[in-house]
Amino acid sequence: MSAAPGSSGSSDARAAVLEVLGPFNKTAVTLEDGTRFTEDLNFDSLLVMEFIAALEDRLDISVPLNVLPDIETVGQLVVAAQEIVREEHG
Amino acid sequence: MADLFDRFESLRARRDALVGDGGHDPFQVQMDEVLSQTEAMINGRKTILAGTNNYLGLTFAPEALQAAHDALEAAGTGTTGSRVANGTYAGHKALENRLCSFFEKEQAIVFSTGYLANLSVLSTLVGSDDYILMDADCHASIYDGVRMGDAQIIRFKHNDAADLDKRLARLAKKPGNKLIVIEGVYSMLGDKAPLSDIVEVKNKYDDVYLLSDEAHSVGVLGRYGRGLPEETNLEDDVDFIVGTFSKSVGTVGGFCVSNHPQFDLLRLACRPYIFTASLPPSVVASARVSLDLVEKGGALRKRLMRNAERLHSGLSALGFTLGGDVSPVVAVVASDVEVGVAFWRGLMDAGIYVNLALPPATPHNYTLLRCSLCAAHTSAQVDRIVEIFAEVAADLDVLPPISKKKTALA
Ligand SMILES: Cc1ncc(COP(=O)(O)O)c(C=O)c1O
Repeated sequence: MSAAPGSSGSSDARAAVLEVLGPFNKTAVTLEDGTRFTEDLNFDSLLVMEFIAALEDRLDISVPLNVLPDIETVGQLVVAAQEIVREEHG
Repeated sequence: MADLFDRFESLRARRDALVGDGGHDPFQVQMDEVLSQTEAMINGRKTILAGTNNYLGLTFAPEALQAAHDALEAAGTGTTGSRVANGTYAGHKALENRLCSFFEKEQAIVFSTGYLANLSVLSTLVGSDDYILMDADCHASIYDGVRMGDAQIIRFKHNDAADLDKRLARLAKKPGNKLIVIEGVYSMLGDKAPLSDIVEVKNKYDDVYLLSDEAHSVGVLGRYGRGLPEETNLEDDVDFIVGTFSKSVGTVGGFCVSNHPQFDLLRLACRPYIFTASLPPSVVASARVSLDLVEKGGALRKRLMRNAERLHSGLSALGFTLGGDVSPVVAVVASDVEVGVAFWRGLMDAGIYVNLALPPATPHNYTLLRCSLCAAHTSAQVDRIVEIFAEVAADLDVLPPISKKKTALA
């Protein structure tokens, strides 16, 4: 049994991303797939690191730093997280 | 039309908010005259230097000065080129041989700085099918080095061997080499890596290598100053040691040592080795001689640690929150950036120079008044530092009750 919820797919990764993102969301923005980390949520590089570390804990995964530059939106992160969960726990 | 420098607007705003109305600018400290390893004239005031990383105080060692003078006369002021394109001097080779004997390793390469050593090694040792597992609190040169390369970059929690273990376990079935990257002593808080735990984790898996940046531990730890691996008797378990001449060795330059038989190939692969000028003869000569002094520097290390204990206990008795255990790096945690800047200025006004370290370059986003000690500090100088810290705290009204001893964070 894996501690990660990954095997059942995208809804779990999405739920995890939204759950972890909650406390980091200091704006009044409603979180949707299209929500952008920098423009809409005012994330700076430091906050990104903290948030990713929290997400890694929550999903029991490692998110390589290499993938971060390509992730601009919540939806893109969900897809990436889902992929990593599948690779590491699938 | 937009000005090119508009993109630095938030940086400018942040700087202006910090530097504000004048007073000492933490980013532009000018030492008008260096009086000794521990004192300089700054803004017309004689100032105790407590933020130089000059741990053993070798910057004025007579033997090193003499060697530098001799080399300067003999071989000139500079090499005017890279070792690959323009030739190696005998001194470079002699220094690499000395590094081998110092570390008891078979291979050594000298780079022009420690920063370039990290860029060189970390960008080339591992490729696109490989993984870097780096401590999250690693130095900027390590972050920059891994970013220059093609490997997948994974960070593990600072000094957390169990977290490293978890991450390695998840990679176990993936092909590719894994390179763990740590520091022997972390620069900001002076805390040591749990090396034996990390080695234990490393040995559980195949194709895992370990690199340790010993920038702040060479000269400081180990009977012969070889750093944390020597102190913990784990030298054979660390595959690559990176280091710098800019701290305990008292000059400038970087290096990597290893027992890997093919290590020399890095000379043909590392762009920050090939495409930059090599160290000038005087620097090379003083580094070589200073390594002798580091090796037999047991007495200096004792004095350094005595100073470290004195400052650490003095500041913690006053109630300051310190970032780590006793080490030659004593980092005082300020409650926020404003207090940090005001405090730093108060210290400067009273003739004490320490480093102001700000987020995001600090762990936990701390604002730190980072002191680094020198074997050449006298007890009186250390006491003076403590005294001034107390005075500035009283002026700013930022200290918890003097009698109440607060223990370290972390
Ligand atoms: C951990 C660490 N690695 C590397 C360096 C870079 O060394 P250098 O000053 O030789 O470029 C430093 C300090 O500057 C450091 O603290």
